[in-house]
Amino acid sequence: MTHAFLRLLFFFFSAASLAAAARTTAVGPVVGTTQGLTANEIELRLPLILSRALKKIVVKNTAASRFVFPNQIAEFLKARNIEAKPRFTFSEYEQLRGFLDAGGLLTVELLPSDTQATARLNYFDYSTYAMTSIVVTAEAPDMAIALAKQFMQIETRRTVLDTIKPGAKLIVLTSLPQVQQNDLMLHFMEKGYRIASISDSSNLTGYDFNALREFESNALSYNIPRSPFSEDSIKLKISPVNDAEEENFLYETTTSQYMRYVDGFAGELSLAGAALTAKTGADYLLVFSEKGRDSYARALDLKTGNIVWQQDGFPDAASSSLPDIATALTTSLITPPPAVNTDQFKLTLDGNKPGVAGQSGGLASVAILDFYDRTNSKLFGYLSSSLSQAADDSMQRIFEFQRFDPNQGNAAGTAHLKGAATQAEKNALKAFQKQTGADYLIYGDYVYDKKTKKVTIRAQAYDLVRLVPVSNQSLESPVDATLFTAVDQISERIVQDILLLAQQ
Amino acid sequence: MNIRILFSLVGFSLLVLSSTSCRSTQDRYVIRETIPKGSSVAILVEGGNDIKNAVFMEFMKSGYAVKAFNATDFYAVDDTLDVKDLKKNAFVTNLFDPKNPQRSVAVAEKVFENIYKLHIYNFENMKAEMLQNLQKKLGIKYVLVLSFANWDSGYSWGRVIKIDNMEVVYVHNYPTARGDTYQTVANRMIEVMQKGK
Repeated sequence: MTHAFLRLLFFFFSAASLAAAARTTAVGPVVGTTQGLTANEIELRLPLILSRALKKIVVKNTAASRFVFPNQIAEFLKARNIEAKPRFTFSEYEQLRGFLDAGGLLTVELLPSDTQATARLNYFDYSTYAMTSIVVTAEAPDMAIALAKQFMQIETRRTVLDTIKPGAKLIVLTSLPQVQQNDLMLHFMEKGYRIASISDSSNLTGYDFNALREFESNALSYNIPRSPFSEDSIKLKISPVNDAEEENFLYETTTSQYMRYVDGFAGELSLAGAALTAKTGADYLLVFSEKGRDSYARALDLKTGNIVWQQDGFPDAASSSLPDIATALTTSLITPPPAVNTDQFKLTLDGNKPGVAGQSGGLASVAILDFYDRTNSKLFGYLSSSLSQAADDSMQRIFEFQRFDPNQGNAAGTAHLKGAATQAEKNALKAFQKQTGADYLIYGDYVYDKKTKKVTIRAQAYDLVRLVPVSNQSLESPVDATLFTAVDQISERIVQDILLLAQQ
Repeated sequence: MNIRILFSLVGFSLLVLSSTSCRSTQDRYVIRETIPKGSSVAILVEGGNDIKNAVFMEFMKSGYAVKAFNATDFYAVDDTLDVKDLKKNAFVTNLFDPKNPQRSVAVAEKVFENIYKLHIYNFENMKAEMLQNLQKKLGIKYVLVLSFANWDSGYSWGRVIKIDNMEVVYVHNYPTARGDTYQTVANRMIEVMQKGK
């Protein structure tokens, strides 16, 4: 990894890492299907990419930072009967808060798409109680990387979908008094921007102006739930209260208002933007709330109706005075999102994979045994070693480890585990570890269902040093090429579990 | 449309200048183009009638075709189209479900907030319409917004909007000096507007 890239990564997380002494980053449910992409693929790959990126970025705080994989979130949700979904209610986020401490929860919704794969990334930040959503479009194989890149932007509290360069014509809504509005206008004009108008804020109280902080647009959204019941309530279906004419009217009114201004807010915003650009020729509407380094700003692209740039806080400003904040603002407007060398994210890149240390101090030694054939058929005997080899191949692509010699591993397995697919006894594990010196053990079995013509593969992983189970996976698959996709998925889940345990 | 509303919209709430406004400490301006003599201008002045008369005179003497308006036509946005009224109206329109007040308050709150936000954005549309009406009805090319209300406490300022392309072409924060009068300040701005520097 180059120094330049390290600096880039540091930049990504500089703002976040200031307050990141013990941040938890959790990847929660990935839901849906989009063009050429399933939720399962993202759920498996995204956490691995992010965990590696975070580990390298928050170098000084690695010990204090925690990464939570989807497996763990899924268990938490299941235990509380909470449906896995891309956006939780406020109260559900509250329940997760106890589990995640500081930090935030990232979820993904894959959206229907006819062309490229499209997904909406939601990030609920427990330090600000803000939910940022961003729609990401990418070729299916690159989606996990594209999502990771956008997440890294959100973490900095600055999101750039488009830069706003000098020459652009702006309408500015600001909380500043008039003389300072002039100062801000002068600053923009000196930088080469054109001003269509600047708002008067004298009739907006601080509270009222703060409402503009939140927005929903088709590309980018930012919301802060205000009350314990508001998020939940908004999702509730309103039903007619009874047959009374007056109340039916109320129901109709409420429903239509809700449909138009809540569900349809992005569309309404787009219409307002189109009208503004038609009347004034302005390109962007800039909302700027000045509070020194705690200022926030948003930019609405009037032609597309999308919020294309946002920043919360200007920690890098030279001072909290208006000229310095204005300078930081215009610098940020023209600064593109940091370019990321996406090769650095590829899971197949040698020397750049996540890994855990073994007892010896080097890479962990993992014994992967041949899978036990429980099909009662000679037809599937070949799968025994094929599956273990596939698991090895699959893990090698995403995880740094040393495979323990297969022959010696199988011999030790035969001696101590007796081909068992049920949970291994501690004594058996201890004996296996003593004989092999391996740090982890992976073994499993497979059965065949004649009716469905499918193979069920079960795999277990153990930490041989702590003598504890790490992972228990099971997947059903037809006996065709997709069998090895199932092995990929099992392997990736096991890797997630190993990484998770290694953090504890 | 009511002339009072019209001026309230284009006047950018001149009468409501915050007493906490920070004073500009340097004579700072940007001018994108000169405002030539003979141009038809609407001048909106913040300040008493004596100030307005003095300022209008200076602009007329300098060769501008001034479309001046009676100062009493100026009303703050607060007076005529207060966005806070919307808050009141939103709730008056009964967005509540009487059977489940807690739930419906939250729904109404979200609906209200979004209507409110759109109102703020659309308010900019209304301002633009007002300015364009000035051009259509009165043939005005530039709107000058000038504030002398606090000239004796340290600053005056001016903005010029060119209606043709709806663009701010001149902004000036002027720190009033000890010897300044309304006339000297107005003439300083006129000088910049005509010379373009």
